[in-house]
Amino acid sequence: MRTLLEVRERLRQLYGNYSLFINKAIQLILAFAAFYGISNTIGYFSIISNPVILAGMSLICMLLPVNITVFVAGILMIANLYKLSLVIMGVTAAFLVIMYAFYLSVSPRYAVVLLLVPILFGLKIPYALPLVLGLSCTPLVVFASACGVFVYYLIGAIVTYAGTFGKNPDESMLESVKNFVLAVIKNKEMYITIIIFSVVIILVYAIRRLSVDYAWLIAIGVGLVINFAGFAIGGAVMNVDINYGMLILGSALSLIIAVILNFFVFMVDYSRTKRVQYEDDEYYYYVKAVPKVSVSMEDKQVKKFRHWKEDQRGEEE
Amino acid sequence: MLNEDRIRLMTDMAVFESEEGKEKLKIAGYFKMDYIGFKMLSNFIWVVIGYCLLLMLYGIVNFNELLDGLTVDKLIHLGKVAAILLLILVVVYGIIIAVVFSIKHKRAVNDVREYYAKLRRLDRMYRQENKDMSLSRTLVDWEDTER
Repeated sequence: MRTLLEVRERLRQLYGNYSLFINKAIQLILAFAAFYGISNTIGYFSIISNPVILAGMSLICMLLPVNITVFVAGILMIANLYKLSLVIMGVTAAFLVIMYAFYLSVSPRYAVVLLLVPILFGLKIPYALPLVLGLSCTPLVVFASACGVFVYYLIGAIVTYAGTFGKNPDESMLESVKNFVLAVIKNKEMYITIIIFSVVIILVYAIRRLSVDYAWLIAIGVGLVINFAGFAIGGAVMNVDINYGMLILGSALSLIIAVILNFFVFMVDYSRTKRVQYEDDEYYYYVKAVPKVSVSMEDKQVKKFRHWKEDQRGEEE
Repeated sequence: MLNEDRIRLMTDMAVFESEEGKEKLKIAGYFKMDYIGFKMLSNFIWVVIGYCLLLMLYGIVNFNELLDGLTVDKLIHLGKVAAILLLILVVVYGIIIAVVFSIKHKRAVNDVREYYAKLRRLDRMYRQENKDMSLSRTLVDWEDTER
């Protein structure tokens, strides 16, 4: 345990010393992963889907605020769809503008989650996200995660309709657009995912903020159970195919990430909890103080002593 | 001689100015009602744009039902329904925006107040330092004249 705590302190020191470079590196990886994911699924515009162009765009986005990366990812999506169909491009742009108008224009704080959700879906580990978001963010992230899930299923609908859109002679263009819009908004799996992610985020946040002992561990446990049970029951009730393998893998991964997060952010020793009571002119105070678990790092200093005889010889010469 | 307290204070203030302080100083420069009013106006425009796009998508999905037996009366009725929904949406969003940006303005004002308190503390440190220096100079001059 002491070794782990020392490793944690070293990592914290390392992050403290190089946080600028580490943050920019994470931003670069996130931007490239998002742009590459978009190009890999709906990369119909071959020029801008070139990995070198994407790497260049990621480098530029690395130097700008994170929200610009989200904006550029949206532009990249629409630019790729320009080569597929102007109508699909228009409808997709309408959906993205609606998302901006009703959510991002008011609270752009968690805009990066709109990139994270499709990336994690692409890596087949989306179920890891709600637990981690519940432990690290406020409940407002629910809207960002809902938008992220919507973007993922929107891309899925585009991929499904890309080959056949407007090519059915029995279907008018308006009918094609109608079917595409319905495929996006009548997706039961999308609504189940949004609801369960939102419930897990809110529950985990509410439980970890309680002043009970082991609140974080209880929140992690409850979040995992609700995540798994919610998808299993929701899938059965709404008659939707749920990939149980991905669900189990995602839940296991979210448990690992949550435990690591707990270790780094909220490691406390409940056995040494102190409770005090005091008053001032206005209030009585009931205070519970839970000490953090930490270890002081060894501060090794090496001093070299030169030999006395060597010094004397040097002086004589 | 380096004054550690002053260096710590100045570093704190420099970090605030270069990061979150940029936006907060701007927000705190507005009166609360002006800031909320400006935000409500800009978001009102976006809400109307978003609503028009939603209406367009609704029209695409239900165009058969809408065109079926379309008369002037039906068109007026649809227009009234759309207008009432827009009004409800604008009111609801207006309340949300008022609450969100009111909290944001209050936090910005509190943080800027703390920043100005640190600025005044820094000013007091400089005045004290200048006072001490002029006092020691007076003492040295007096000692010289005595000699």
